[in-house]
Amino acid sequence: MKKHEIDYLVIGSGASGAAFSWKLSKNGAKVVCLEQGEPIDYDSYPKNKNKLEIEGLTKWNWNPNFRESKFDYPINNQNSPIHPLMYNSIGGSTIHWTAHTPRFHPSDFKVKTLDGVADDWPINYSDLEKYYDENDIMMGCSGISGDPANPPRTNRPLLPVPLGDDGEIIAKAFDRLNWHWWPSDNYVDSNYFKDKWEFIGSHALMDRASVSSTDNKYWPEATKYGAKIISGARVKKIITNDQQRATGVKYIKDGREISINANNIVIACNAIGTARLLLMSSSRNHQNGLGNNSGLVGKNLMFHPYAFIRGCFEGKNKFFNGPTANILMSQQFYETDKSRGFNRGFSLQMVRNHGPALTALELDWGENHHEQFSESFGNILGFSIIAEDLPEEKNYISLDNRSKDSDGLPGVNINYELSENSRKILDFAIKKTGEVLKEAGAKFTYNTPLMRQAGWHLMGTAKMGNDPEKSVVNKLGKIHDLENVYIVDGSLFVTSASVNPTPTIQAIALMIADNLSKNGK
Amino acid sequence: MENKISEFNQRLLKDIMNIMIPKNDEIPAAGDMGLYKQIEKYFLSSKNHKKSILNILESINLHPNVRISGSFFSIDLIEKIEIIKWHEKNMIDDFNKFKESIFAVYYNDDRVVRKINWGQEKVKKIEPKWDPSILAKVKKIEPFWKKF
Repeated sequence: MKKHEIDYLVIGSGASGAAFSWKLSKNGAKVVCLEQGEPIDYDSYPKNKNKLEIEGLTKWNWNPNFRESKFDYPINNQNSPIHPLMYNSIGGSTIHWTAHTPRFHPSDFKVKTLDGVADDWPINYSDLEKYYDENDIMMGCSGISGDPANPPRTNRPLLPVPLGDDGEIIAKAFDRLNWHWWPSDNYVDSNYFKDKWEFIGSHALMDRASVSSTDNKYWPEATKYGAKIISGARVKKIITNDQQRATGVKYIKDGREISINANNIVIACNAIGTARLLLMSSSRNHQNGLGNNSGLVGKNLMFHPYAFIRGCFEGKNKFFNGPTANILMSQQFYETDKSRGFNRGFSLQMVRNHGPALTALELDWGENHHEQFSESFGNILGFSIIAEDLPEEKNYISLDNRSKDSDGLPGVNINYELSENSRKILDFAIKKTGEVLKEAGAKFTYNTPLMRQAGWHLMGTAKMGNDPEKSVVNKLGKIHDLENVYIVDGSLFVTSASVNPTPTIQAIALMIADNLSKNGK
Repeated sequence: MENKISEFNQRLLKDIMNIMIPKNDEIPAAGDMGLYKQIEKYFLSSKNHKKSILNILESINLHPNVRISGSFFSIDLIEKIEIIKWHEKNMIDDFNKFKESIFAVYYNDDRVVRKINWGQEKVKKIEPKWDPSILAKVKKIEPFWKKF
């Protein structure tokens, strides 16, 4: 085998690609990362809270179809009630996330054993624990240990973000109901709030000074160790030989097609981008797409189905001050209780009042609008309900050759149906969450039974497992069908848990990188 | 394609905006505030919003009751509301974009910002502090995560 200069060619610079690149470059490997987007100009974030709402709906929209950036690719959502959200830039979607960072529970890795649904993961919580800790330090985690719903964990590097008066109202309501709650872990610098307690906004765009993203945490360190990023580089295809090895990739930069060779290829493009690239990389030896002997590439797509419930409180409050989300969460209903009529469970995440336009959008238009607005604005507290989504092969992505990106590569079709189990979880959760809001003093509640623009968490399209006929990658992220191609993002999730997935994605990326370093691959 | 709304559609948009966000004390109804210019500025430059806004306006013009009456302007308020509601129910994605555009420009207008006292309040100098005593009760819950 010819020895190439690049040890690891990483595709994608977001949550997982950055963590992986840092770890391997720190351990002495030569790492090059190809990123289809460009660096974010921090001066381009909205400067004031009015601009925030307009720009959050247009150029900073979470949905790539609405941003119309040349670095995104088209996503056809016609067959999905939930629309995927992502950002393509150095740092990936961490450049406009809210940075809420809970961990999976040990039980999340064993749902087949526990509840007879889906599959067990081939790894355990204990395999990831030290990588969770390492990632918390690298990303800068605020929070507090001692949560009775979770295994003990190391002291958080930063104090929790203050709950505020409104957070305390909700916390005390949970206490009166004898229900679990706990301050949220965040990759947010809680010191930022020492000087200001004001509206931050729903898009996590106005407080970038406080929010960690991989472009400001992992990449500066990784590049010190010699990792290199090539931005504006969209990978067209992974090239393989007849010996089941990848030799490199073809990518497009500034309209030119370029080939680059490497000893190992690492895919970190999120559960939609990764499956897209594998399907685009079909060849004579891999006619159904790369790594797809199992037929599972693109299948088992999981989102977290979200519902929203809001309560309107008396008075002239300012419940919009402070971070909009990541305040506190409850995992009272996290595990399966068969008497509820569904498998698995959900987390509740407290959410503050939006700014005026987004508040108004949830109200009636017409003659009652102003009265409703006056009653609501500043007085709304609520919860996002995040349900565990179980994997189903009928939920899948495929290439959409009718829509092309700016380099002429195919877009993606999303084919997804909300399962009966997920619907039951959300319906139960809405009812229970209403009880908390009423206990807290809400005059009335209203809800969104399923949020459409809520596909933040992309998982499952290249499942991890021990059996090559029933999974795409092994427990160390290596594609079963190939000797030197790895996946390190949320694609390899076996199940989704009911928490934000990024710390788990990053911990897995660090675990895979560590294993490769130790084995001298 | 030019990011302008035709004069006819400007009138239509204004009429719809007046129905969706009526007059509020001294603040005129949204259409009468001349906000279509802001919609052009911020949302017609976005291909997706533009498509949705124009789809809704075109569909309203083609609605059977509008065609029978000659124009949207010549039908009564109750029927206008019904037609808008029909679009809200049957053209969900387009209507959401249409509505977003209207509400975003309305609530970004200086007159409205002043009226709702948004952006006028001073930043609170005494910020809340993290107070661990709030955990007193929840800390008494026995750990309940499932061990493996």
